[in-house]
Amino acid sequence: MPARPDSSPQTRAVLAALLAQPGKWRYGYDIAQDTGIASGTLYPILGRLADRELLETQWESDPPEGRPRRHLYRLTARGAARAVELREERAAAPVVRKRTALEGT
Amino acid sequence: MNGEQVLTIAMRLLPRDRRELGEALLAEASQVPAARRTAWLAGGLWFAFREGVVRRVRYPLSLAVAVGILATVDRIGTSDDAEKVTLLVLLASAAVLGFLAPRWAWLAGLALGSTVAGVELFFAAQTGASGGPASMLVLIVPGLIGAYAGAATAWFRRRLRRMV
Repeated sequence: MPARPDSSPQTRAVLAALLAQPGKWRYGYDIAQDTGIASGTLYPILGRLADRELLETQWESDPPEGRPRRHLYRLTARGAARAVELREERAAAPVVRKRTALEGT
Repeated sequence: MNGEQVLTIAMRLLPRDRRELGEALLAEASQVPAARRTAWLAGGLWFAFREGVVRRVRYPLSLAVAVGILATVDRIGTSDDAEKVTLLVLLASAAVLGFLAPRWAWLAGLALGSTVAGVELFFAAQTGASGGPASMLVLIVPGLIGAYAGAATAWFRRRLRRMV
């Protein structure tokens, strides 16, 4: 069980994907393609992130004719800060493992 | 009936705060390439089931389990400390349920607080023993205290997270 609801690998992947283009509104299928996460897992994650105000959402205002309106997502300032924090935690993790391995020898 | 129609019906299961996401998932189904559409729709059905059914059943089920545990602890306890253990289980289970669903803390407090009286009443009726199981209803007070302590903890935790 993850220590925090936003620290599961899938949630990290969603946050990382959104952080790659901060400020840009992304839609669900786009994020799913980017992360390889199935729709049944992705949408509960988007819901939880929005509940925690890490994500803001809106409906596309002017969709091209013939295509339904998309629901769009982007990180809030808090969401971006949390995504950066998780990225740094992840970057630091292998160093810790290496040290432990060296200490064990 | 095609997959999108099935999903449209399934989306009615969703609670109000998840309906927008359901509509979003459905709106994008038509844009998903045919080869992946079935998986997308299946994911949508899982989303509707998980958020619409599992989320609704989880709390009543947890409450029923907590009531069952408390009733069992009350019945099997024979030591001098049995009453204290029952009280401790009552406080702990009420606190956990209050934490999980602060809005329903009153229900957890009432249900768990009256469990012991209910159990005593049931066995008194079976054995014909006289006594005052109704006086056990006083346990509603610690039940409510435990549940609202859990709810308050959840509230502070949420506040703290918003500040971080």
